[in-house]
Amino acid sequence: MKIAILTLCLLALGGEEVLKFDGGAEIRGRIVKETPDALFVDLGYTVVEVPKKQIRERAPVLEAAAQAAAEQKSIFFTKALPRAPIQDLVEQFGQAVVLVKTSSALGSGFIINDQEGYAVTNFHVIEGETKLKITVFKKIGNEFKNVVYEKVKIVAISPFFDLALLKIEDTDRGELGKVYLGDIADLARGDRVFAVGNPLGLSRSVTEGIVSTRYREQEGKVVIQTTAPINPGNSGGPLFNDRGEVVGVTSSKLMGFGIEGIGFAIPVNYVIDFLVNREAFAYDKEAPDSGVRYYPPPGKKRGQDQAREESGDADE
Amino acid sequence: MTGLLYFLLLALPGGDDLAPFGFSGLELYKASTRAQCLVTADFDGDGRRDFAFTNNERSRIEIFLQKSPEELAKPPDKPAQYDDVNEIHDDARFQKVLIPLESTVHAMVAVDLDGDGSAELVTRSDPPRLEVWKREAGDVWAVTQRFKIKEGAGPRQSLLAADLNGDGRIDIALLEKEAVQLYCQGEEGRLKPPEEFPTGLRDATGIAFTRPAEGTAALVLYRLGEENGLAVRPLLGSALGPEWVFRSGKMETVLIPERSERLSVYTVMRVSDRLHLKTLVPKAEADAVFEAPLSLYPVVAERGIAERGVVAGDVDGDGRGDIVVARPSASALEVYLQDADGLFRAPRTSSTFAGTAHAEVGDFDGDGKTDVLVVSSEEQVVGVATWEGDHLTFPRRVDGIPDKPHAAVAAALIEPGRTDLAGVTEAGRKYALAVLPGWKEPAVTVALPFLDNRPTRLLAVDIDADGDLDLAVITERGDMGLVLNEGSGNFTALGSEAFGGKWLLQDVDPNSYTTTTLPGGRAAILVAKKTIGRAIGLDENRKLVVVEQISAGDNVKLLGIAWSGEEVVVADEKTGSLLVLRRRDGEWKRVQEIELPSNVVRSVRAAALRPGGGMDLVVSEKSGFLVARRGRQELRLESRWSYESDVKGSKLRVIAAGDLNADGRLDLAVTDVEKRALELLVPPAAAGGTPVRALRFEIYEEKREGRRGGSYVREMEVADLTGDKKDDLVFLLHDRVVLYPQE
Repeated sequence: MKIAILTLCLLALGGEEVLKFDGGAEIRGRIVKETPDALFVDLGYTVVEVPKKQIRERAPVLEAAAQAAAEQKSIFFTKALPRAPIQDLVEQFGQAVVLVKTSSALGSGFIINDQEGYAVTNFHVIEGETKLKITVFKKIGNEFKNVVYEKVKIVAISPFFDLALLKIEDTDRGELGKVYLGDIADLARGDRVFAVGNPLGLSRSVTEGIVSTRYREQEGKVVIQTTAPINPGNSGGPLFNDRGEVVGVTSSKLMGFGIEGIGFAIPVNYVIDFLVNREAFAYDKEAPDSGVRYYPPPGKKRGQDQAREESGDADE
Repeated sequence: MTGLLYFLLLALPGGDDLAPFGFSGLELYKASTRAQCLVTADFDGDGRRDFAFTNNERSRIEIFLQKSPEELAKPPDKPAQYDDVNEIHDDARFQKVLIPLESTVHAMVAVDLDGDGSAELVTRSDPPRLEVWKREAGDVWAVTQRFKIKEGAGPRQSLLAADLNGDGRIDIALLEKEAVQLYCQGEEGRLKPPEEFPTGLRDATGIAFTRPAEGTAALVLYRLGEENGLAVRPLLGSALGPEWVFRSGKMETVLIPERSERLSVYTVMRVSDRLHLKTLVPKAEADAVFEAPLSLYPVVAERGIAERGVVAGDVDGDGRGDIVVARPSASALEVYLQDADGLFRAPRTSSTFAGTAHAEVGDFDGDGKTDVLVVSSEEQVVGVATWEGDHLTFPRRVDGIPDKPHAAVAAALIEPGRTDLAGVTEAGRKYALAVLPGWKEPAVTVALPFLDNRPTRLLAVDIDADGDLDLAVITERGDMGLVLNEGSGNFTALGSEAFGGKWLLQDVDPNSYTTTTLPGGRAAILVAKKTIGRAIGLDENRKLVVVEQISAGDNVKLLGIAWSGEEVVVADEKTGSLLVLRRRDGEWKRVQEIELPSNVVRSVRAAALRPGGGMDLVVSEKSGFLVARRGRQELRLESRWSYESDVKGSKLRVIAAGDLNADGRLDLAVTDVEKRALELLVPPAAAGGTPVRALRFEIYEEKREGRRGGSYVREMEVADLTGDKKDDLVFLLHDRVVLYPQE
């Protein structure tokens, strides 16, 4: 039932279709206009006119994609999604983008598991903090309502990759939206991407750009460089591809006079590694923000033993 | 050989002989990665030691007051709340008090200034001010004194509290880039406005106070990473004495204990990562002619001293040579009086004409009082100031030297036994010499048509050895003109071409010209030219002759020269040292090399500073003047022992000292930043030994690959923070204060 409703909505909006031709060739794109003789298909970078008489078979992509089930991997989900207009994708996934608030900073984040309440953000958003709040922008009818969750646990941190995994403890299961994680291998230079976040506290702001490069070295990591405008407060928010899959976590940008459109995002493959291996990055209450475990110092017994050993070594 | 080794090991405190080291556990307290200035003191007057640090991230000082055993026994007021899911719960040993700040604190000391049993905090902060914080009622702290300072930002160790002047009250010393400010405590526990003492070691990293059993109380300034990075300033009452700069090697970290047998420095060296104990040791050197190091008397750099403005003479008539320094931009003369110990006291400052750049000391009017002759080109005046008991009077003008005077000299030129005044003057780029017989008009004038450059100095010397003092006019370019005294008030002026000196004097350092009397009794002028020094005179044909040539070696560049007794002393710019040369077997050989604090020497002059003490040296440089006294003693900073961790790749860094095993002896704790470990060392009891490592253990483990602020132990203190009368170890690490209570 759910699938049928979703299909109808997307057809009404002019969804993506596959057009097959004689000889086996096919194209995939969004039908933006239809005349008695031709279809106008948006291929992403251009719109082409296709004479109807040349088309052997015409089928909506949506059906196949929509029928593809979401797959849970570890604590996150993946799903093959069709290309769609950004406004549609924002509508669909915007609710999963959250505001992360600490006593000294604001940032963004996104929910990867609505059942368990897991969210991902940047480490630097929560660095040095222990009391966090997450605000979810819930759409109720035509209105958004801010719902603030105050019991937020830090599950894992990776200062190196600038990632943090949070868990909202005080939510009713399933009431949150969620995003699907994509595959960095599907991303190419020039692909359209968009970021959703809360720059300067302006909630749910959407900015669009392209992938400038997938491989930008930054402090020992490879990050995505994008023209999608990123501002303070965007940090930790998702970078989506044109299917609505998360391909990165917006983290930083180059600033300076005359510099524009150089933003960076942590690739989703790093995020997946971090989530899959979250035990290794487990947050330590004894050292909540430094990723450090302090050893107890030796007592006199151990000290005496060691002194004896040291003395023995010296004698030798 | 084996037997000797065995003997040495027996002499060391061995593992079995050591009282065991150990700690009762780990206590962590939340701080910040920007927490610094960890201090321990009893802040609430309860007899228990507390700790505090600054947290500039949160603009506050955080004080952790140690609770009483009764308070500790009480159950906590509030159980841990679930909503503090990420909060760590500080150990209940301390009660936290926060002092809000509106500034960034760069340095802080804790000390009981007013002696009421509870410590105050003294902070150096930006906006630039020094503030004294005192606990008022309960947890409320307030600023009780505030001083504006020049520089708010400064190193962590730029502030110290100690009884500096020995009056039983705690004083404060603040280290600035080019000066130390001493805030001595007056009545009722209040600091008096500061006295400024310029420093020669600029941009020092830290300051420490030491009162060794052998030696005087002193301030020690150090600059990490500098080859000559340690300067000692003895405390003379409420003033600082001269600065002695020592070759320290490049230090990475430093700990200077207040009490020790001799002035001691524990330091980890930058290149080797070895821990050294270095002490100041006096050595008698058989070949030494002058004591080392030189005594530097720094001046405030921005005000500077005149190039020709450092002169020696007995100003106060006590038989000891004093130093007069002209400060043109300050329109001041400073008199450094020598005390019985041979040290020069903080200067007495007197006013003089603006731009005074030339001074000379003597009793010119024969009234038994010392006079100081001054010349100001800026105000076109020659004057004489007189010492009146404890100060110099404002100079009275001397009439009769026309136009714009550049230099002057008082000497018996015309009648034996009577002092005349000679001045070299300028009128529209034409130069002349004016001589006032017996300081009275009318002047005898001699044109100096051969001078092309501004004259800067006038020397009186019998250069032609005819028994009459002649005059040598030195220009800013290093040329020399002569005014020969023909007797009966007649003078003949000769340019360098006329006396054959044009090429012989080429490339002579202009500031090096000085007069001397050679061992045979002949007067001469000394000059430094590239790698050689020369004593020059005139022969019977009035042609320049080199009476003596002194070679200081090939790879030198001489800036100044003085003849002092049997020795010639030259300043070498290349090595930054004074070279003491003595004639042996017909050659000039180096007998001593003394390091200079800088290689910006302006002049080297021999001066009789002590009655019967021979000729000492006064060296003028941009940042002050140096005094070299005759003597064989050299003070050296020598390594008494060194310690290298046997753990491969270790990097020793922060040092702390205290009794960490309650055996009544000093132990050392030193961190290994590379291996994240701590080593506890027992220093050797006897000379010749090496420290014994009693304990080594890892402090923490890192899960992350990257590093960021506060990754290392950055400050460490040893103090009893648990009230059991045993020293504990406390340090700042990451965003934590870590406490190891001694077991």
